Amino acid sequence: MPRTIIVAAVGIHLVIAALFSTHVRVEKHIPGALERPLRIYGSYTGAHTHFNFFAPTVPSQARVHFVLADAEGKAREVDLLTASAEANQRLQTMLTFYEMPHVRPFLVRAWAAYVVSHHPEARTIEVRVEILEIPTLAEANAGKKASWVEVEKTMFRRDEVS
Amino acid sequence: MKFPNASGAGGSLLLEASSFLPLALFRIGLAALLLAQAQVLWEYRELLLDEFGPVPWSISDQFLDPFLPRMSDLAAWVSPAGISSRQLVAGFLLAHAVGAALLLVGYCTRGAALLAWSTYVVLRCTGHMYFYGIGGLFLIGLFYCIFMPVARQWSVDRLVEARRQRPDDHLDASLSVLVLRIHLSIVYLAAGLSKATGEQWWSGDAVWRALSLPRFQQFDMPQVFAYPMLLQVAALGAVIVQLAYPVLVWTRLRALIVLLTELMHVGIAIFLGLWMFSGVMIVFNVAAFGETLWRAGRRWSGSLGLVPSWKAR
Repeated sequence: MPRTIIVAAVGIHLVIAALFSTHVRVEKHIPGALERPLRIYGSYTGAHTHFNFFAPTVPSQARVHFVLADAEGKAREVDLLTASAEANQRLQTMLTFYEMPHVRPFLVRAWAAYVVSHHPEARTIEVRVEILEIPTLAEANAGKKASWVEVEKTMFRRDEVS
Repeated sequence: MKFPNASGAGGSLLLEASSFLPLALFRIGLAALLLAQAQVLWEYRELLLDEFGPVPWSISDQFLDPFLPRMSDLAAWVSPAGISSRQLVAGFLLAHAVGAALLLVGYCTRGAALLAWSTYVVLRCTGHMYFYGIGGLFLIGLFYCIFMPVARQWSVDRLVEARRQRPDDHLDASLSVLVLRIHLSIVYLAAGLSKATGEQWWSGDAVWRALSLPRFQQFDMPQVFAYPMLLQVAALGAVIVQLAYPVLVWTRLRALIVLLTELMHVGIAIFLGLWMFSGVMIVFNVAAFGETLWRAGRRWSGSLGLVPSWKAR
């Protein structure tokens, strides 16, 4: 293949990578007819990657736990965490989707269905989601501490989610 | 456009790659990290990739473009043959691990890269809600491994075929390394600009928040907020290093800025526990600027009298 073609292809690839690189969602400003093929190409090659790690702000963290009750009303608490830090990072990434209001009810129900499927004794399940409220540096120096704030508490019967 | 041999007069700051070793290190480092990731995905596949995991495919697929591959489509095709979605996931993970292992040793390297990349695209799309920033970096690396001459050194292919260096070998290495350098410059410029627009990065709150998040906490540092100046220096340092990187790597200060960047990644690994992410970034930097660091190291150790001056040259 002629070198000029290779160099041109490399150039176009890098321009696409640069286009999608920042935290600015350029996707919203490009005509759909162009944006979609670029996004698809980028999804196969990695060129569609925003490099806004911890930026412009460091988001907070959510956690989810489940309260299961058996037929006798005995309750126990479980969560999704594993022994692997890497697997837990990925579970935390998944929890960030909770921030999307239109996805939230489906996610909560899906989590409940998953946990119930692993606990045949459970008759009801309560999904509790909490967000960590972190004080600013100035507030922390004034004595304020980080605290978990409950943002969701939804109860399902087993037959509702299985 | 010509890419002169670095050993000649044209061996400028733009193009200095004179061997395939950095690209071999790129292949080996990337493949080793892919295998580490594959091990995690295998062990927790029921949680992270399963059709009926915490986020079932019926939900995660809603976010995917129909032109992107996902396991649910493939499962529908193979189910008449009695293959379950769990077996399909396991098969894809195994194929991906085989591709990564072959890439690691450099055997049938281009095919191995193609196998690792194609299976990775499906795995990543299927479990896209579980892939953080590292997912894109692996994809970029694998895509480049398909096209770049990553097996010309330290590979089984090299041993078996005993290939001779073609006249344009240096040119290939130079172009490949240049692509990695430009891509890294894009990555750090974007990351630096994104941070610079956030108020938290100027006040030091960003580092404080990152250290406070349980998902990243490695050490118990309850009183770290008592050192706001230190946190502010760390935050501003990260922004400055990332903004300076795409400028200084094209100057004679490139070894220094690459070294500072590598140290930043080591810090991220130690203090935030992001070992795999930091590992990928270090591998990319070694591939792009490994020769720079090597030469600078030789020069510095030579000037300190650690190696004879004629060897350090």
